[in-house]
Amino acid sequence: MHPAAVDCSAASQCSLDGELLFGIVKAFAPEAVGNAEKYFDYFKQTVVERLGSEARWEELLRTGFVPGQPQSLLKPNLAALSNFRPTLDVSELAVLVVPSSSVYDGSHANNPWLLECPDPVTKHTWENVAVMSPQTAEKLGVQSEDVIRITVGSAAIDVPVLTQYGMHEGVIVTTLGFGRQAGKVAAGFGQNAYALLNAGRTGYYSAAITKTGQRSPIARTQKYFHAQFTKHWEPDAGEDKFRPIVHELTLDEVKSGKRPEGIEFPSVGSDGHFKIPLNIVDGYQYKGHKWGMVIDMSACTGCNACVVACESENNIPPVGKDQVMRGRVMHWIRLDRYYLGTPDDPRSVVQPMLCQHCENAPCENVCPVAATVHSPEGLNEMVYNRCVGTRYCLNNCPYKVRRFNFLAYFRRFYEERLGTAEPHPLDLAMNPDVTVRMRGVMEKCTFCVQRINEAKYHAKDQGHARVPDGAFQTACEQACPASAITFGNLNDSSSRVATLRASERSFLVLEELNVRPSVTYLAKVRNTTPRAV
Amino acid sequence: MSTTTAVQTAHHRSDGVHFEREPLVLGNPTFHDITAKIASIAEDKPTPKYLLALSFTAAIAAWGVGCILYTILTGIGVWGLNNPIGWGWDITNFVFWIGIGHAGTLISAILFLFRQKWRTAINRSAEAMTIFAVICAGLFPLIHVGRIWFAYWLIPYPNQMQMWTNFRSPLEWDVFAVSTYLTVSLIFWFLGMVPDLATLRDVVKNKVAKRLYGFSRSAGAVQCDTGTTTRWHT
Repeated sequence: MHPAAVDCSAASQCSLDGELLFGIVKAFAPEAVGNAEKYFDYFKQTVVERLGSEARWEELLRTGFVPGQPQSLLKPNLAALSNFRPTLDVSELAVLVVPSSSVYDGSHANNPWLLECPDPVTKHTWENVAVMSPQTAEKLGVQSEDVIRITVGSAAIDVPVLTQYGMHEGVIVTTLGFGRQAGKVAAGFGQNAYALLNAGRTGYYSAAITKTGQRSPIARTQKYFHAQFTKHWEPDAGEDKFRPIVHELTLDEVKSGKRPEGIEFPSVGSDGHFKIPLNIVDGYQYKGHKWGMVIDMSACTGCNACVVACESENNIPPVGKDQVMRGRVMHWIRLDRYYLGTPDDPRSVVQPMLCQHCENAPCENVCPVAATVHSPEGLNEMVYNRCVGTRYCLNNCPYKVRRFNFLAYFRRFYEERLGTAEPHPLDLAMNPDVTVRMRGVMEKCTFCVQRINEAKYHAKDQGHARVPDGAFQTACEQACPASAITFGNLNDSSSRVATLRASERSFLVLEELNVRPSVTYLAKVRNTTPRAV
Repeated sequence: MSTTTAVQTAHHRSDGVHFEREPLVLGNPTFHDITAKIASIAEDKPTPKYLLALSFTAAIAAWGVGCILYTILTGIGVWGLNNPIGWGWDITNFVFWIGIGHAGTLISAILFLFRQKWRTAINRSAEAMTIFAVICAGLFPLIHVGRIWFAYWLIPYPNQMQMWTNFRSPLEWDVFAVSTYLTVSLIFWFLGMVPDLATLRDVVKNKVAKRLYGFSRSAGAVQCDTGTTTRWHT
């Protein structure tokens, strides 16, 4: 079988690499592969032979592993570490070229969800930038959005600067995956950093940096509130600048078992319910389900999986770089990154922020047409077809989690690039259980009400009065690789949410406003010496 | 109506002392003079200067209408609002125009309560300014909404869904507040205009115009601007 005759069609079940390699081996050393015609057959033959039976092959496919004797652990040669020397002599500035956290090496470059996914630390979207520390920028005489030319050897690219606290002074980082010319969505964004790579290896390169004198705006989803939440960040900031929106604990504080100082959670009693009823007579009694969520900030890595999952589940449209620059990203859940410590030695904490479904919601009071109402199960429900679009609810929300369709986002993005609002097969990516919102309508996180309702129907079919804990998951909960998000029925005392809510690490964001959110956060724990707040 | 009585009257105090106050209208006009002046506004043909000024302002108004149409057809995204800034120039301008309207109300209504007679010369135009300022202001809550074709949902009208507005919302209070302000201003303006409308009804030749001006005929005893009840000899 000549290598050129390798079957690369879509019908081929195997990876192209395997098929190609198999074809080459079969052409030049056919006895090595026996009578197998395709790579898959050869692979299966070999594995079945090694495992012993076809049944164990099926088991492998089903479970993903082969149970048996654990291999002995390799013992690392720690002494060899001391011999390690960096192979590159970097005297001035080094450029580190790494795959992007969203589009990886460029394989996902044409995916608008990923292009619009903010970088977990710098929160920039839609392109690659040269990330450097503020000191480096000052030394070079540039500031954010100035375009610099990075020259490695004979190759050069022009990228805008983005200053970032916590970067090493001698390193500039830029990412791969951008600078495409082809691709209806990807074309024209960013620069092709592959040009800088020597023999295709990512890593550190000695670079010459020159200013081009141009400026290029960067679309960031979080420009503000970089550094407000610790007394040390702005040395002359007074007490009132410290707002306890995020909490960070040391391991000792957690181990003590007592609720640490500063995370009082004063409004909730030991039974998990709010101590003072909202109503002077009696608070509303949530009989039946009371949906709530707990987000563990210690587990959250800021990976954006929940953001994209929510976008996928709820038919949230991408808006494009120009709209991101205007602050109109439509993600219902966002990851807020706060700094703690000092600008020279920062730590960052990520806080996923979504609609808190407040019991005393400030948004519900102010809608003139009653388009946002509270359900008897604790959900703040947005009624799209009643919404006139006055945006008072957006103004009144203290968490700023509401998203307004300023333009016809539901069709604008694809219409502009692909000529039609629902290019096949992207129309199949829409969730039929969720409405598509027209322009002029407000939207926000619904706690995946479509999944809640589906779970309730199933429970009813099976004769349960309540949905059992874990019967369904919200999209963000499902996607989170760290299991940082837990959702469930707070009225069920044995549910995971109820248990987590009672943890000593739990707190409510902006509790002092008395909006009574249904989302509880668990403080981040660091295994360090006592908290330097 | 061809009386030659002077417009000013002397004031008599209860203890018998009487004094002449400063004349409210200078130049000692007769009633006929005033009638002629008012009638000339309706009767005279528009001058070229007036038409030039009108075309200039009409062009600006047309540009405004065009911008509003663009906003309504494309979406609020053509403005600079975003999350977290949901209101900007739209609501600020609304409040500004309400403020302008208050200036007119100050002159006509509040100074009236304080019996400041000097306001009578500018009273009518001030009130007219208020009316138009309130109309201008009232435009903005309409055009700033995302779906203006449903703006009537802000008015509590009975419907088959038994769906009422949310009376707790300050925006809903705005609906009542601004419409009340407009209504009251209109009535106050109209009341002040009744004598002049009667004058115009008498003076104007056009039958249709006569009818329109004439519907104020039934106003016999009118609270006129000097604060006393007088029968206007019409």
